[in-house]
Amino acid sequence: MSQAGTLDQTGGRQSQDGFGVTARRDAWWVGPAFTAIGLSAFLIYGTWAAWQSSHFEIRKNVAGKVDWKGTQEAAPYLSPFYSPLIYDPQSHHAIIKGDLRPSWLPGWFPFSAAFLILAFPGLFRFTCYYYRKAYYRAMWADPPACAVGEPRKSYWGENRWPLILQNSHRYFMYFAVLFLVILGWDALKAFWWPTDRAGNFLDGGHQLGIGLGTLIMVANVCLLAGFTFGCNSFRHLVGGRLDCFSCPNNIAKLRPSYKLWRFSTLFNENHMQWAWLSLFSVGFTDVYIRMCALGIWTDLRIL
Amino acid sequence: MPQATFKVYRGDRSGGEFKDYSADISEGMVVLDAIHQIQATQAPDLACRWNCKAGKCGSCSAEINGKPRLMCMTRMETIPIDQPVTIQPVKTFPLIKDLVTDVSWNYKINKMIPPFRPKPPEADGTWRMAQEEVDRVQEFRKCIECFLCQDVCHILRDHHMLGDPEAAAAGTATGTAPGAETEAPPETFGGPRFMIRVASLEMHPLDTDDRLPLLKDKLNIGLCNITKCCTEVCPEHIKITDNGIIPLKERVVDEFYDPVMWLWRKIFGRKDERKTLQQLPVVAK
Repeated sequence: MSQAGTLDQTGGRQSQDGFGVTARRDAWWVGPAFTAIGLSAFLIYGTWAAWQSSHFEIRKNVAGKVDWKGTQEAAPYLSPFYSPLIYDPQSHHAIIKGDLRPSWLPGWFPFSAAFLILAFPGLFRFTCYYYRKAYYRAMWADPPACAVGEPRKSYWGENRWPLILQNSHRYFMYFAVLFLVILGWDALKAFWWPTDRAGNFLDGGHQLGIGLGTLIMVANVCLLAGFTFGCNSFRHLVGGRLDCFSCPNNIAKLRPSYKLWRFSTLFNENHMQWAWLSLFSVGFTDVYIRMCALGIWTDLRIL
Repeated sequence: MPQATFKVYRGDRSGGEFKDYSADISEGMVVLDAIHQIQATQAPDLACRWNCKAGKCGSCSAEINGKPRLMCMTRMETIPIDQPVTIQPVKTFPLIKDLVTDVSWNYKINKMIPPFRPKPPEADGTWRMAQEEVDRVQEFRKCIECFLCQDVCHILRDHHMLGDPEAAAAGTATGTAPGAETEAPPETFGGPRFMIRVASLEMHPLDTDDRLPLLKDKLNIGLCNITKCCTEVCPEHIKITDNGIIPLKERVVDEFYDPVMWLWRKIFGRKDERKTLQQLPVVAK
């Protein structure tokens, strides 16, 4: 990286440095580079997985082999990319049993049940205050790192269209809480198996069980909860918006909002870590279920 | 005793350049010690602002190897001396001489912020706050006004949104930043230091004034894109963005952007006491 060199003091103002120009000597570009790689990898994989419209749950055929075209549920798992499953012709997870894909759409056009829901968690993360920092730095170089020159001279911030829409973050947070409930329910259902430990079907009945996928789904919900409860809009909503926790005039007993605000603050202090861990866990949960559904990995039945 | 080479910026508003100096490095030394040694042995006319040498006065802000830092709190053992150590004045503000810059713009911004305006005392004539409420705003009171956060903020540093505070306060965009090369008058962004000053007042349990319109329209909090450099450089480790700017942004959303909150206020009215007690006398901060 070039150094700032002499400072042009014309008119008493140091001139604006060019893109990447800095006197910093540390590897300031490493953080943004890893961020760009991580976010891009998730975006590419997530889009591809949502496009597939298949292998979001594990099915078996009548011969008892893992087969997407089979009709029997082999494990009580559902990929978080497809939950809630708005439609599917045969999945018992589906809200509507059928195919909602418009017949007039050309075959190559991407459409799947995942596309109907992913906008909500996607926009929750897009408008998240942490992710804003991450992609403003890594993807937009505004700035690329602290005290490092930028590529553009114009700047609107979040004062004008379209970035003024970042102020809608709280609405996506409401959806994120709803999705947390849905994914929590999915994780609970992942304890309710249609097969015994040997993999034999229970003639329509179910029994309590735990597979590795169950634990992965539970961990995913826990990490998503850590991310959602530490959300800055959530923290504001539950108590941060108040100036006075002791009002009216009772400093001995604070309002419950104070404890809720402290609870959210605990998660908020590591919001970045929760953001990355939950992003990874969502992706990995889909990868695990997809790989099991493809028959490449075999789910480990623990109980 | 090891020696280190320092490339120190020398100059004034008419121009300048880096000059090389050397200093003996001993255990426990900070960068400000080296600058004092250079002043004592090689450059008595080197201008440098300092006072407490304890990280509490906020005077000795500079950019050391490109990073905004306090010279008195940067230990030499944390800096590699196998190559010259670059020391230059903070970039954002106009240079006066050598390492000294004119930060008076900040004080003009400060004057825009209405001071503390408490609600009436309780029946026994006193005011009471819970310790937990004090703790929240106390973090912001740790600020030593070193203006490193203002220096590193890219809105001020790279986009020069250092408009005339008086014009901003009057609502007339006639300000010009000193030496700015842009044709249009620059917008004014209050900067992180004054966002947390507003936060210390807005979140105060006894304060009754409403500074949200000022935050939105004059200090332009919407310009902040939360890249958190201010938090990274704060020598007092104040969580400027997470505890100050973001909560203020959320309050601005409540007041100006959230249609549900607007409807709620229309139906149920405003529950807090702000805007109803604005005729109370101002208490000096």
